[in-house]
Amino acid sequence: MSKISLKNLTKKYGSVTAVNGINLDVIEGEFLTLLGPSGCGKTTTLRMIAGLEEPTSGELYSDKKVLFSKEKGVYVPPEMRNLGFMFQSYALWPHMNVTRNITLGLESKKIPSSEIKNRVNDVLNKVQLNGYEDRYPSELSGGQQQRVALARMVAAKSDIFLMDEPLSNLDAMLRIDMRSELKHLHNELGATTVYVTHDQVEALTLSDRIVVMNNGKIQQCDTPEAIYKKPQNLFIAKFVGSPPINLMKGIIVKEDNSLFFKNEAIKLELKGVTAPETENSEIIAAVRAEDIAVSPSSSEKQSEAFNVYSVLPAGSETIITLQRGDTELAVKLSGFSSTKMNDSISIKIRPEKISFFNPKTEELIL
Amino acid sequence: MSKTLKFYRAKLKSKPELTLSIFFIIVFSFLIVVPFLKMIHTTFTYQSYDLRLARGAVQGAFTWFHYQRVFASDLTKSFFITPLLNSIGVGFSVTIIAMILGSLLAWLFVRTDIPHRKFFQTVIVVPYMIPSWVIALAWQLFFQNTRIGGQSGVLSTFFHIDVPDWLSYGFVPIVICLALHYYSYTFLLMSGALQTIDSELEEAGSIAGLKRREILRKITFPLVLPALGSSFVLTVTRSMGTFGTPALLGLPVRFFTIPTQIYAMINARNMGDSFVLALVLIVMAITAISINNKIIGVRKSFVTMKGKGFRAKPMELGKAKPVLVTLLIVFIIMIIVLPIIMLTWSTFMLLPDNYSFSNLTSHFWVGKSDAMISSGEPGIFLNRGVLRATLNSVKLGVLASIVNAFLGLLIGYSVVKNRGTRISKLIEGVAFAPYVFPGIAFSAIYLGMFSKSFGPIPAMYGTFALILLIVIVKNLPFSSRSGIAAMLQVDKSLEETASIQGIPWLKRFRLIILPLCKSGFVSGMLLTFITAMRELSLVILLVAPNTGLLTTMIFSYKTQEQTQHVNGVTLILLVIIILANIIIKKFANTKTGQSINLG
Repeated sequence: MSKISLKNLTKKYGSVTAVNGINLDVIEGEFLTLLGPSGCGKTTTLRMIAGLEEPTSGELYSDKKVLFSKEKGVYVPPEMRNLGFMFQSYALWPHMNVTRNITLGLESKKIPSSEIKNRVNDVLNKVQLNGYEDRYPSELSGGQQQRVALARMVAAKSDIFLMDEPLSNLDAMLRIDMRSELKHLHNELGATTVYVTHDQVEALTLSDRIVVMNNGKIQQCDTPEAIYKKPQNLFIAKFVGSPPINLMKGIIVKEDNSLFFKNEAIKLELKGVTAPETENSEIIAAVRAEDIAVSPSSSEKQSEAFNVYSVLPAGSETIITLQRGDTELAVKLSGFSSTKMNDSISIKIRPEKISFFNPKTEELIL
Repeated sequence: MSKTLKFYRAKLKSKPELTLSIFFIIVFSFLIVVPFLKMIHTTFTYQSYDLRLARGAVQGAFTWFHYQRVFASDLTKSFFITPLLNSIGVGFSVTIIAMILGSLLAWLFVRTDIPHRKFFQTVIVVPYMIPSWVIALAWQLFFQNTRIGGQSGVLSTFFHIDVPDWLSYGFVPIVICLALHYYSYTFLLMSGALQTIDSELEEAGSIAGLKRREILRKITFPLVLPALGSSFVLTVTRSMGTFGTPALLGLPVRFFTIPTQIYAMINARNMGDSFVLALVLIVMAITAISINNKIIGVRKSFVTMKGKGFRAKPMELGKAKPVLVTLLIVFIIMIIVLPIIMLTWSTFMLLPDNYSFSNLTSHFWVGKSDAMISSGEPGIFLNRGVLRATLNSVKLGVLASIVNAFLGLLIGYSVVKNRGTRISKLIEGVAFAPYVFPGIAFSAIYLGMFSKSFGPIPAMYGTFALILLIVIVKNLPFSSRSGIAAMLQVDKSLEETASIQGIPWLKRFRLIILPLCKSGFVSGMLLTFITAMRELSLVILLVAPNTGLLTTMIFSYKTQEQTQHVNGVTLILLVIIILANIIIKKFANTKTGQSINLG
C-alpha cells in the first residue's frame, strides 16, 4: 500500500526546472532513498513532500488524502502534514536545551505534560543521550546534536520520516555508526522513511528501495541489488558502486557461430548470454571491479596481457588498475594481493556479469 | 475557479510571509509611494501660492511653471544654482575630510598597537550618537563675531581676535562641523571591514614579494573598497541632505544649501518650487547610490566572506606612539570635551558674552520666571515646556524604536523568506525609499496628506501620532536593513523544522525567530532611538505647542536668540542619548552602529 504518492510533481524556479514531472509511490513502512548528484532535484522533492517547497504543478497524496493539488484546490501546510523531518544542519534551536528542543513541538500538539515527559525519557534512551537533558546544542558534539535531532523527530511519533542528508556533516567513523542506528531504528519503529543522499554507499546500505535521480527526473527506482547489478542506464552504472564500474567501448562480432565483444585490448567470448543484436556497431560494455578475475599471465597468452598500473591495498580488499592500450580496468581483489606494479596479468570475465549499453542513448541493451 | 480561490486562500493562510508582504505593500504604498507621487504631482500643478505670480493660473491645473521657475528663470541662480553648488561643495568637502579622518582612525585602532584602544574607541564614536548640529552650536560659542550674531564668542571676547565672517558662518564652519560628525560613520564601517580582513592575506602578499605600498594598494584597498563605497554614499547623501547645521551656520549669512532653501520655500508656502528642489536632492541621492552599486555591487561579497580573520597582526607604532596618542587626546578634547564644557559653561552665564566669574548664575537651570531675563522663560528644570518636550522626545524615541525594530524584523522576515521573488525585491526597495526623501519636504507632504482625514485615517494635524508615524517611516530604511541582516543570520531550517512539528507561526516567531535575532533587534532599536531623538528637519513643521520635542524646542530658542536655553536643552538631549546608549548596551551585547551599513 502506498503511503505517499507523487503524481507528475514538478518544480520550476523561473526558467530552471528542478524537478520534472516525477511519479513515485512510497510503500508503507519502507525505507526509500532518493539518490543523485547535487542539483538533481532530490532535496527539492523531499521538501515538496514536507510542504516546505510549493510544487509548480502536480499532485501529492498521503494515505490517499490530498496534500497538494492546485486543480483540487488543496494546500496542506507543513504544520498540518504530521511528518518528521531531519535537516542536514540538524536545525536544533541554539537557544534551547535538549529537553526544550524536543518538547516544543509536542506542546503544540496538545499532548499532556506527563506523556511528554515519558516520551522525552523514552527517546533520549533510544538515542543514548540520558543525562544530556539540560545541555545546549553548542555544548554537544556533532554526533550528539545529530542524535538530538533524531530524538526530536522520533518523539513526535509521526509515521513518516523525511531525512535530508542527515549524516553528511558527520565524520566517517560516526557516519558508519549512525547508519546502523538509523537502520535499527527504522526496523523498530516501522515508520515510512524517505531519505535523501548523494552517497551511494549510504543508499545501498540503508534502503529497501533506491530512487536514482538526475536532472530532475527519476532514472531508476528499484531495490539496491537491482540498481547495483542491473543499472538501467550509463548514468546509474557510473554513479553507483565504488570503484566505479569499468566501461569498455567496442563492437560485437560473430566468428565461427560464436559472439564476441571486441576492442583493441580485449576479445571476450559471450557464451551463454543473449547477446545484443547490434552486430558490428559501437557498444559499451560495463563490468564491476569484483566481477573480473585475474591470473598471472602465461607466456602463450602474453598477447592479451594487461599491465598493472597501480596496486591499492586497503586491508579487506585491494584495488588494482590494469592498462592495455586505451582500455583501463579496475579490479577488486579480497584481502592483500601479491600483484606488483608493472606485472603482466591476464583477465577473465564471466559473460553474464557484463551489461551492454547503447553509446548514443546510454540505455541498457538487453 | 472556486477551487483556485480555495487553493490560494489555503496557501495564504499557511504562508505568513505572503500575508505580511501583502500587508507591507498596502501600507507602504499608502505611506511612501502615495506621498512621493503627491510630491511629483504638486510640482506639475499650480498651487495657491502661485496664483498671484502666474496670470490666469487655475489652482490644480497642469503646468511646467515650477520647473521653469526653478531651472530657467531669473530666479534660477538664487533658487537652484547657488544652493546646488553650495550643497555639492559642502557634501564633497565633508565627505573627503570625514572619510580620510575616519579611515585613518579606523586603521589606527584596528591595525596598530595603540594603547587604551577600548577607551579611545568608545570616545571616538560619541559624535555618531549626538546630533551633528551640537558641534555647530559649540562652534558659534567660539567663533561668533558681533557683526552678524549680535553676541561675541570666546575668541573675540577673550583673545580680542577679530574673527572673520568666513570663519564664524557659512561654508567653512559648516564643512568642519559636519566632517567632525560624519567621520564616525566611515570610522565604524571601516573598522568593521578592517577587522574582517585576515592579515594572512597581506602576509601572503609580502611573501609574494610585494612592497608595503603595493600591498596596501593591491590587496588591502580592494578589500575595504565596499566599506569605503558605503561610507562615501552615506556621507555624501547625508551631508547634502542635512538641515540643522547649515541652518544654524548658514542662514544668518544667507548661505543656502538645498535643504535650507527647501525649508525657506516651505515656510513661504511655496510648495511647488520646494518640491522641485526636493526631487533634485532625491535624484542626486539615487545617483550616488546607484553609482556605488555599479562599481562595488559585485565585489561586495568578499568582505563578508570570512568573518573570522581575527589574526590581524598589529603594526608597531614605535616612536610615533606618544605623538599619535597626544594628537588623539587633543582631537578628543577639541571635538568632544571642549564643546561640551563650553555648552555647559554658557548655560551658567547671565550675559551670553561675559566670561567673568561674577557673571555666573544658576538662573537658567533653576531660576523662576523673570521678565528681565530671556523673555521670562523659567529655568530649564522648572520649565514646563522643557519637561513636556523631554517627555515627548523620550516617548517618541521609545515608541519609534520598538515599532521600528518589530517592523524591521517583519520586513526582514518577508524579504528573506520570499528571497528571489519580485515581491521581496519590491518590499526591500520601497522600505529603503524614505532614505532619499529630504525630511523637510517629506513632512510637508505628510502635513498636507494627513491634516484632513484621509481614507480610514482620521485627521492628525498637530498630533503626536503624526510625528510618530513620520519618524517611523523615515527610519524604515535602517530598521529594514538591520532586520534583513538579522534574518539572514538565522538559518531557514530552524523555522522550517518548527513548522513541520506543527508549531503555529506566532509561536515560532516569539520563541524561535525573535530570540535568535535579539542582538540585531536591540541594535536596531538603539539606532532608531538615537535618530528619533535627534530628528529636527523631519518634525519641525509638524510640532504643535503641546507636541514639541527637545530638538524643535532648541531650534525655537535659537530663533529667539536665547543662547543659554538652547545650550541647556541640548545638554539634556545629549545626556538622554548617552544614557540610553549605556542602558541598552548593558542589556544587550551590541555594538554602536552595527546597522548603519547601507549595503
